[in-house]
Amino acid sequence: MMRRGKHWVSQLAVSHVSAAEEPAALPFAFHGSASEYFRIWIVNLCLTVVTLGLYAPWAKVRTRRYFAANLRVGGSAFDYDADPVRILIGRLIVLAGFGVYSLVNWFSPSTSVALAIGTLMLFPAAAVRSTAFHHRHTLFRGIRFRFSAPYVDAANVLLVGPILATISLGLALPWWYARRQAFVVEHSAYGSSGFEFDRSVKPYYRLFAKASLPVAAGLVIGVVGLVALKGSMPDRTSAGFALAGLGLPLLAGLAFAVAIGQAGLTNLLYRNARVGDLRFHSELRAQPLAWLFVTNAVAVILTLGLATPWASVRLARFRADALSLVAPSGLDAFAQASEPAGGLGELASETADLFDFDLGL
Amino acid sequence: MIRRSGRYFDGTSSRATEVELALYADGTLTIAGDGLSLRLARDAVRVSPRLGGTPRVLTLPGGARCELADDDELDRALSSGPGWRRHLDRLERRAPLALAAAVLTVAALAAVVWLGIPALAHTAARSLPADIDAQLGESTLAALDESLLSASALPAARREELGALFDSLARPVEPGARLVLRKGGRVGANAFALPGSVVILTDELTQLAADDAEIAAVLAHELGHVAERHALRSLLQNTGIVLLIAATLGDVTSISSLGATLPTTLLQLQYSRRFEHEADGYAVALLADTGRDPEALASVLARLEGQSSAGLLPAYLSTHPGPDERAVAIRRAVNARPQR
Repeated sequence: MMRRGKHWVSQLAVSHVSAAEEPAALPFAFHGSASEYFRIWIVNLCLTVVTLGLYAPWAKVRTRRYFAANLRVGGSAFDYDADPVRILIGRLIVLAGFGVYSLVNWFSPSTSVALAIGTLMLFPAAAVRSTAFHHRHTLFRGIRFRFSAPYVDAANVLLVGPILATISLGLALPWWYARRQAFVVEHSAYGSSGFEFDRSVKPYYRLFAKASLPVAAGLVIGVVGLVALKGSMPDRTSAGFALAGLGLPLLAGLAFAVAIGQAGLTNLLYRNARVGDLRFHSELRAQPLAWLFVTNAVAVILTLGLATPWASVRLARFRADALSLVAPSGLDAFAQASEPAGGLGELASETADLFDFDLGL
Repeated sequence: MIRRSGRYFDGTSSRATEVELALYADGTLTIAGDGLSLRLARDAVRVSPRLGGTPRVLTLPGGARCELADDDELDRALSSGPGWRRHLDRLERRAPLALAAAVLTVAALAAVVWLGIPALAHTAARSLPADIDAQLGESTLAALDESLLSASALPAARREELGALFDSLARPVEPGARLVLRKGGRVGANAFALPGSVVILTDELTQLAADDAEIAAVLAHELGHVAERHALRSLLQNTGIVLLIAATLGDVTSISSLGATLPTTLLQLQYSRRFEHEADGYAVALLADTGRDPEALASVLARLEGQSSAGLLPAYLSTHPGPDERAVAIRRAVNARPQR
């Protein structure tokens, strides 16, 4: 509770400082509760298991809607209105494709390389389609979000990017994250207003340098500890002590690095994005986030998964509390995009959620 | 008649209009606010299903939306949509029903994990052609040779003796089985059964065993894995578990992948221990049938346990059952066999 309190103080301070030069930031807030979501979650899980997975699309839509409709900013909630039947059709198509893939692999193993490459080439298109589906069914104040991207852009970011990041031995990784965020934001729109993104790569390199510090610290502490322990212990138990001496500090360092990375990337994403004259403040802090990750993981493991809803609600609340919206001329001026007429094209684009994969903002 | 205030969005602009909504007993709905006055039939409006305490959304023909805070009276007045959806909300709203759902989930998952997946894997392993097995075995052996094992350093005569011992056990029951002798190096005293009826025995194990009766016991145990096609079945079962966990706990991964991998690993270990018990039972029968003393299995297991870092891990974290547990099971199996 102390932690929450302190967090709110810094939040208010931010709003106050910005108030001097621009309209006050509108804070985001998450109104879901763990006990309410637990009941929704357990019913979803139960029906999914009992129907051997057929219910999963309904469960997914209910979950997404719960998290969207409980997220509020400026007095309005988000909403999610996808049709579960469309998701089910998408999954059945993937299942059929997987069946064909396995059969071909079985009868003619020589084509499997070509088939694998073909599937890989399909992946960016599926990711774009899936993201477009979820964006289109997310609403705020009656206006739908949108996402559309040319295949070449998606392939550059999703296929070429990781390859470059790998052959540069990770040196291009921050650059890739910057490109990926720019790709998602710049191809998104709120109604007829496209999002823009400030594409500077330098902050990403600074963030990755910062995130690598705890790993390095964990490594140093681990090695020092190991050397210290080694002197006094017999050889036979060295494996256990290597784990305790080197593994634990390194693991703690990694957990902290992940929290720094996630907090920093989220902040960069929102601070660099704008739509119309709307901008975001994001003040996610790494230390409480690391604590949240660790306590969530421990709770989920100790309860054999039953604490999952509590952990999800906690994370959603924490993330919402760190976010606020600056709207100099209010939220009234956005317009719905003109939708292309229905027909076959619409049916195709509605058959989505192919790999259950979302480029998510 | 009930009245509520809400917010109206016309579907083309993000501008909100504060409105008063009235629902009359005759099924008429009116929406009135700043410059807005609508009268329409209740049935022309789509109502979002109830979900926790989230706002209810009325979608009007043409795409305009009206958002209202939810409450029980409003829900009764709006009552619409397919019956199962209303039952769904009732399930979610009542704690005892949610608890029953939890119990049912665990029971169904347990049935799938203990019975469904092993049975499926068993059937699949049986129907897969034998050359798939052989191919898998060859590639696994090649990988092991590259990373862990090296050529056996035993004298040729001893290698021949062991081959004959293996044949005397395997020929009547698993004529296709093949013994491979290797120096264990890092894996030490050990024996494994690979897919494709390959049994690996390390030099270290032949030296650790007190006599050839104990080696025969180990080989009989590995032949149990071969006969039951455990290697292929565990591969199939582990794939099944990963798929099942991914399907049911899909949204866990976003919080911590550790939460999802832990149950996976625990279940895989559980399967592996079940196979060890099966192989022990098979070995007891085979040893007795070939006129050997099954007690040798219990004694060699105890010896094997003694040379590894014993007792570091509790039973549920191990791939093999504890030696005491196995010895008890082995002696029980020995006693249960008809005396000749």
